[in-house]
Amino acid sequence: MILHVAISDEWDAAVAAGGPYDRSTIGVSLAEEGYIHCSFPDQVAATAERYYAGRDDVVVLVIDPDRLDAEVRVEDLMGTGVEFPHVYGPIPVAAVVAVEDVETAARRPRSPLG
Amino acid sequence: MAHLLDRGTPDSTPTDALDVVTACEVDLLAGRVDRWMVPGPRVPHGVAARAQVLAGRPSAARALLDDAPPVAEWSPRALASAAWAISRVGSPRLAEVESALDTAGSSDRFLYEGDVPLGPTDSFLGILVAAAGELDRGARCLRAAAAVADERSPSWGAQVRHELVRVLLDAAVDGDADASAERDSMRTMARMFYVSAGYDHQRERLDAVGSPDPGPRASAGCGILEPGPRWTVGFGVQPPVTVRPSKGLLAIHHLIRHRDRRVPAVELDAVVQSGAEPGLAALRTVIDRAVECGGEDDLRVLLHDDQVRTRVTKLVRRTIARIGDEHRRLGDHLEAMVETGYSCAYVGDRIPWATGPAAVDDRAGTS
Repeated sequence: MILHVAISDEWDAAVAAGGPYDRSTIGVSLAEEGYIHCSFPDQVAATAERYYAGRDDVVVLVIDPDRLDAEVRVEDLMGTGVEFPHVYGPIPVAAVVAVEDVETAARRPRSPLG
Repeated sequence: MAHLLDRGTPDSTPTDALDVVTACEVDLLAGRVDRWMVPGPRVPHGVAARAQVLAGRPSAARALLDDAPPVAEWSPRALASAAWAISRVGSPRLAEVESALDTAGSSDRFLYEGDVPLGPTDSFLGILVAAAGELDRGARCLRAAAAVADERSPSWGAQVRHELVRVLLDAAVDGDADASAERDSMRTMARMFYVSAGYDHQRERLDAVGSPDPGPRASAGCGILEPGPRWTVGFGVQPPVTVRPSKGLLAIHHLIRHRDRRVPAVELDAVVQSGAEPGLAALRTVIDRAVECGGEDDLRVLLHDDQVRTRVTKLVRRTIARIGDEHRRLGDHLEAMVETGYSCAYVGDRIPWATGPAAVDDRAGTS
């Protein structure tokens, strides 16, 4: 599984519309960024703390990569020495197998993708 | 040909149709940070750090600066934004960024990303140098930058003067009257432009410079000395750092807390020996006993104990020197403003300080 930290209203809106979900990260769309930022379980707590601290409207989407039409790449785009999973297309609602809080999602085992 | 950033009114300019670099600069000038807080192909780490600072999240900004790729790989906009972020929150990469900026400017002493102007190179150098505690050099760089900026357009001149106001405010705190006059003049010029050109966000930020109201953390002209497992110490435009607790810090903390009076060395000694304010209760008991037993003469002897005076003076002066190693601005300020002797005092009476909760934890003073 790979994880995406989302704003709950944006996820709810995608579900209400029948999907797909197409936000890349906070304040940025998939169309702008080119991919959707994701994390592995051992990365998600730091991601949430760094970019979403202080917000109480954050959820973690647990995504089954096998249910995605889009390509998933594990890559270090920023040259920082740390690789993150990126989804290069929209996420169908059906690919999200659970919606969890950060603490719960962080306890999941790391995906074979990693 | 003038670029949008030479004449723009960022607060009222929609950025959706602009190129990503211009859009980012306009948004951040207007305080619109949401699209720029996470690093990615459109957002270098330095830019994300700047957005995080603007969002009031200094820890996230510092972490982004720490995690960023080697400075040699940074684009000009990453360098410029990182310089601004570092000037507010500090970073071990300050010297690296300063060195990279030194060679990054074009022949007109402006920094560009493609054809997008980012500001005079000397303005970024100036804020970095000031953030390292070198106020005079920082002010000189910013004055040079103001001259370069004025040649291009009033918007750049206002932004450079905005930064110069912060540095001069700190210089004025040290008693430099010329700095006070120059600061007021710079503030007026920058503010007039911001008001007339609709730079509302920048005007609000300028108005907040030196205001004790938003809290003195990392603000020009304000100090911070907050106890904790590691103490947070800082002063003015040089961002705060953390240092390990010590008895000397407790003594200086006590002086700043009681800046309305001269503090007897024996009182400071009691504070540091007990590790916290409860030492005062012990001191009062000693004084009361001295008065009861022998009256004023014994009290005078108590207050003029040479051993205590020497011990406290050495402790305070040594601590100030150590602080200066970690935080040049705070060290310089305390060196000038702390008096030691049979009685001691912090004499910077008009300076706002953040000193943490009312009672210092007993465990704070351990060495």
